[in-house]
Amino acid sequence: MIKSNNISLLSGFNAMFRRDCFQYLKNPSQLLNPLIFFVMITAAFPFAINSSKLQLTQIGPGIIWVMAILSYLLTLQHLYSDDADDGCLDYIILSPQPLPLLVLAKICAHWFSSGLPLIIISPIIGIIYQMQVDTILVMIATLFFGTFALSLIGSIGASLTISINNSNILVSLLVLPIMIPILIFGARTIGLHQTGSTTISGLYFMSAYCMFALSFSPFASAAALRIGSE
Amino acid sequence: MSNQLTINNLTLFRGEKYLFKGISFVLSSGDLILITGPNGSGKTTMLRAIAGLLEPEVGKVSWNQKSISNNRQTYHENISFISHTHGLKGSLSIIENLKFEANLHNYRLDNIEDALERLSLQLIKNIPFKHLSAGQKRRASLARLMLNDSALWLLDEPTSNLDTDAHDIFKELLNEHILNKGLCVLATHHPDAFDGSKSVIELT
Repeated sequence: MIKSNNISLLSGFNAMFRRDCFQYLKNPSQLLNPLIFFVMITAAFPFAINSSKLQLTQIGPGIIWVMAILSYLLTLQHLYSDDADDGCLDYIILSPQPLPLLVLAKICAHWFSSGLPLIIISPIIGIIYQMQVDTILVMIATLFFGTFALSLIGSIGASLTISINNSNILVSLLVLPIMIPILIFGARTIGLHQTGSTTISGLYFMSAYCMFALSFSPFASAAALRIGSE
Repeated sequence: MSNQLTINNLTLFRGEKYLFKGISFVLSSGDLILITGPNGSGKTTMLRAIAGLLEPEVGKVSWNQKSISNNRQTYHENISFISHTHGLKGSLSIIENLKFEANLHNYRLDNIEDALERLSLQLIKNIPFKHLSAGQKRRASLARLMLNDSALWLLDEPTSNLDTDAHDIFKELLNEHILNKGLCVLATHHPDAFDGSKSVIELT
């Protein structure tokens, strides 16, 4: 048997990313349920209220962002608990690859299967809320940075609670306060664009928040997973 | 290259009681050690501590005279761990699971076919893992051992649910590993089922 002496960091990252994406594709309910929840509730609001254009454009960004966060919270429980339940987490920890890198691969796969579909479907919701094309583009930009930041922040909550059964509520309580800045800046940036104000500062903040979360979330999650798996 | 695993005064608690206390041994290339004991005596916990999955309250695990806490990556490059949970994804087939394992550790993919052949898994390699019988799952889990040439095998009840043929195949694999100067720590309820030179630690 021959084993390569050099552990390739990229091969470990790719293997983990591809396995998790493949896993989500083989369990489409994990992927579709939060997405259907997001679409159903956001699409139902205009029927329940006075759906004048002015009112829809005023409340639309807030509703879209609140529902994006709530539907995202539904997906977080499975981020690490499935691996803990079937014993895969032990093998991931025992891999010679750096654990924060494998955690980052899992976070990217989570965003790819939860955040990206939400971004892809969001223009339809934007049309329901009578947004202009340029406003929809701003919404997509905020969702791009915002959902990746949600995956990063959610990873910390999910890793802290792997040893607790049915921890979805606890994860939500842990991470929701840290997600509030994303909600405020995400919704407000779209709202400001609708009133003709500049949105670049909002997008700068969201990208900075995303980079800040990227700098510590994989390390914090990896440490929590090591402790939680003991 | 000669390798050495040193366990020094390993002690673990469960609540306020000792699970086991003061376990010490040295394992060198070509050595097999069996850990036996009743259910709940701490066999799995000891293996997890030796693997570095949990920090012992007291004591130290060293690989080639270096503590594994400070030398984690090198140590993990040298071990193969088989736990009682299989650590394979139920929705993925055996071959998909093994390919992931090989890519994660940078092993050659050609080894997968050899492993499937040796453990008679060729005909079921594309079936999702969750649809296999308990014995087939255990064989798929053991196929990991053939993906690389890890010096140290840490095996938790590797023969549970295996039929006679698979049991014999596993014993052949183990004997080859030991003859090739490998090291093995194996937790089992049936120490008499393993031939050859071995040491036994009995937990109470």
